[in-house]
Amino acid sequence: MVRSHEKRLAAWLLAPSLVFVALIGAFPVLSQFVLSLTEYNLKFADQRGFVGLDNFVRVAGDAVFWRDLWQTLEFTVASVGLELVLGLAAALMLHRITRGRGAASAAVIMPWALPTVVAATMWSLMLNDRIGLLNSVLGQLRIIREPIVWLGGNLAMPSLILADVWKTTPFVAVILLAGLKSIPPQYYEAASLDGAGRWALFRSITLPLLKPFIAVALLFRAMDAFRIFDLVWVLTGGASKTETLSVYIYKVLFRYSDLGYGSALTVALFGIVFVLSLALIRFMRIAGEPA
Amino acid sequence: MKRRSILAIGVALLALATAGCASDEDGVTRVIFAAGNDPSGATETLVREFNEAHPGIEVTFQVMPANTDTQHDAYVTYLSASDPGIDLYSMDVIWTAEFAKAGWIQPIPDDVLDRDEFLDAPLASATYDGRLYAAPWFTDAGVLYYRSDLLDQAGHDVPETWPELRDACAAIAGVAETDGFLWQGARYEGLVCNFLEALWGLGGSLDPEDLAERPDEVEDGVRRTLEHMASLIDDPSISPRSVLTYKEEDARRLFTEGRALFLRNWPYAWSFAQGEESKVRGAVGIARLPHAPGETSYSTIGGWNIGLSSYSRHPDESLEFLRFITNERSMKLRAIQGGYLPTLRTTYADEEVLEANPHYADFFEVFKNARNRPKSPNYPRVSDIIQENAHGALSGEIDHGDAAAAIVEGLAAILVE
Repeated sequence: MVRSHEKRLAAWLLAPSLVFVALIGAFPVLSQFVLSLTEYNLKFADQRGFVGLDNFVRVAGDAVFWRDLWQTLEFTVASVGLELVLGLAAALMLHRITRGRGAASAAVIMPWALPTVVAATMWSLMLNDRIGLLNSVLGQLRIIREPIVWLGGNLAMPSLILADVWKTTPFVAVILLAGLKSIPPQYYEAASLDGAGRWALFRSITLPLLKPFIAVALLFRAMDAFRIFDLVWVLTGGASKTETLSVYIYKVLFRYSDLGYGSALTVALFGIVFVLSLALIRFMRIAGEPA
Repeated sequence: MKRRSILAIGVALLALATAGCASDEDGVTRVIFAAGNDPSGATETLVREFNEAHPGIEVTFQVMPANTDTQHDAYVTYLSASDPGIDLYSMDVIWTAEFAKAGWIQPIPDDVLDRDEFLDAPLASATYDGRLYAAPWFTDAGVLYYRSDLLDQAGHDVPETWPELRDACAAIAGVAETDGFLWQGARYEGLVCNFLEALWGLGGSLDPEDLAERPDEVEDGVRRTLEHMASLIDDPSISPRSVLTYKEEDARRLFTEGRALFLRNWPYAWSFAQGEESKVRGAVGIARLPHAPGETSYSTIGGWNIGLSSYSRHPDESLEFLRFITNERSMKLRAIQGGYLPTLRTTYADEEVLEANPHYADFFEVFKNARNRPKSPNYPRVSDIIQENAHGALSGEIDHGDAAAAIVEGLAAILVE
């Protein structure tokens, strides 16, 4: 039994961190909710006032919001899907090789270690149609005759997805590699003795035991991808049907100084990400149960 | 015991934090001047000189982030909290209406500047609702850079009109492997500047009076401008499709690499074109932007003004410094040492300035026909409406007529009172 004065001491010791968390965590989130119910533009501060759910009615009828939500979904599904497939392949490869694993791991993890803005700027140079690396290589291999404009027109979204896949596949690979390492080798030995082929091993042992790890990677990546801002901002500025919700929110909050409506958009994004995460966590629970 | 000492540390920290606030106990008035970095050091030199000449005032030059939007967001945060920490703000010309309308900056008294000495467009950029809200500090305007060597080779004159520019591009296309005309078409503020220059050069307008009284005419002008810009892209000998992804530096880099005949850019590109790493050094000229036959060339004005915070505790001392930093001598030093284009007319005739920057004589001609972007406290919204529709139309995502209608409708709702 813990004695009561120890309990009290524990409470005292915890108090500062709780206050801290409340200040930097709960307070901003709550004030965002409150702001979303008001009309408040920094430029016209005298017109500030409570408007109830008006801002949310406006969100529901805002064509830009729905367009950007759709584009964000497009980006999320495509990039996270590709990252899972490629990340799994990379993890399997890293798991199998015995020599030079350190160097190989370092090479794979590299893109993840770069700040996104740096990676995005690098990609914008590589994707430049006249002086970019990609067109120059494709041109020299005689695959293309005319330079391709990667960051404009219909190729803009695929180019963004490409840059994101390059950048964050390592994250998925590392998580899945940890999962692979947690599978006892005896399972494979026993199954092999019973005559299971490679594909059967992968389908019946690797994949089921990896499921919780896949779910974690999926959850983190999907949440990140849904809030993508920096990559879009640097590469296209939201042009050519690549504007995501975060870019739109940035514009409303900071360019237009419209805190009320911007907060309502933020709350809407928060709600969507929240529901998405709950769905994924549910999936994760199911996946976590023994198959 | 222990708990008490923790409390003591807390109180001590609090005391330290509050002690950081500046005080004028020693009889010296402190003025804080916030602006982007000046790598040439000219601004710092001037601040030092001012402080030496004014023992009762100490001006501090607070360097802000170089990125314009970051600076804007930082200022909006301070000013909306009525923060007195900064007295003088350097402001992009497109912020004047926003800051003035919000009551964040105060009108500049008549005796601080002699308005007749300043260039018209910069002065207009600092004016809102008929009152001067800032002092023009340095200016900028779109100019046409051309490759004098290639034009000579093709026996072509420097183009003044769009048809002449087309001819020159066609003539060069057969001789040299370069792009014709590079400009800024990415979806950002630069596109607005390029769009307006094209619009004005075709005789169009987005002035509030015209939007209110002749909306059909305005819409027609916008549509013709979009068609004109699209036709530049549609002709491979003029502008590559990728200008729709270019900002200033993308286009500038290609031009100084020797890969284009013409470039629309700001005056800063001149020193790059004549710099050590340029492949076109000595083979570049500057001219006014092309216009339609029978019309006039106009440039969009950029540049920065200095405004006085409404929350300043020392307006008189701040104005004293404002007078100093915008006087003839300061403009001259910054022009010679830093290449900042003066807003005073006379500086362009100064022999020493012209010796350091011979091209200023050409720039002066351009600046005489510079115009301002639409003025509105909601300018970011105005800009986004133009950006989105113009970029969509030029990329072929939106019909030109629809885009023109959307621009006119959106702008009329904001600009017409």
